[in-house]
Amino acid sequence: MDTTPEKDEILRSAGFRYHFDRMAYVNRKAKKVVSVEAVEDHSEEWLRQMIAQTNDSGDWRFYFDQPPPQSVIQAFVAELG
Amino acid sequence: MTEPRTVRDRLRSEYFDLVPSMQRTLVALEADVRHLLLPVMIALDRYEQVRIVSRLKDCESAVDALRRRQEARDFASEEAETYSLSTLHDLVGIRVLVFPASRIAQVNQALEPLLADWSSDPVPGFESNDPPIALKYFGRSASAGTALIAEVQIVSSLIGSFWDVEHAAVYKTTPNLQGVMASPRMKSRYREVLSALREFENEFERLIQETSEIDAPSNPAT
Repeated sequence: MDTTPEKDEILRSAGFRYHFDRMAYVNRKAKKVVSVEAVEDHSEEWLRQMIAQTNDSGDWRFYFDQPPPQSVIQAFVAELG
Repeated sequence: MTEPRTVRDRLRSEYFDLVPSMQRTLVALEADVRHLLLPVMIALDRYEQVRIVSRLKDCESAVDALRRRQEARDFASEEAETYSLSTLHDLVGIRVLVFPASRIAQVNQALEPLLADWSSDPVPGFESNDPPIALKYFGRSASAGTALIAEVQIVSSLIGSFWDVEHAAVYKTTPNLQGVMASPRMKSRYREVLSALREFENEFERLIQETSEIDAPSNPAT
């Protein structure tokens, strides 16, 4: 699969923006990060389900193919503020 | 107190340890490619060209390329020992720029003795039945006798030159900007550029062919 314009549109409509340095879609309001790999490897339906998931934890959620190591999460979260 | 070495520091150090092998691989590989392409180059028509461009990836580009291969685009300090620049396939690269593109198959065939045992990794065309944008191979240079994996690309002159300009104008000073290209919006623009360059080349070649048919005295139709 690929990161198609349709998937891009689904994410943008849900408030995600593309972070070129991290090559990931980030939604500050929902505190969610989706890697390009995860977008490529999953269907549009998966994306819609991910978007629909509530995140009341106050922590950032990472939707990656491989869960990122703790040090990487900390650096990413620090960068996002 | 001294700061602990970061993953990047360790990789920069590794890079400079690899430089002698990289240089040796580059010299040997370029010599092999030039040798194999000599008969093709000698037989070219006046307007045709085959250019061989070689390069070593610079240190920061190499470190950034490895960083971009990680899903979070960052190195994990707890996995520092697992990263190595030697896993990159393009620390040493040879690009063969071919005009017209119809000569690509001939160049590819001439390089077969060198590339037969290498892995093929073509840059795919836009549609499933399109020819690849570029032929790409990676493997070890037997002549160099190093463990490094190198890359050989065969690409049309215009598209290869566009890649050079794109790299020099956009990424040379800021390698992380290459992440912009993973965006579907940029991919779509990129595709339009390559498609236009390919059309330009095809039309150019068609017109040259047309003239050569007019000039050919053996053709009774003209």
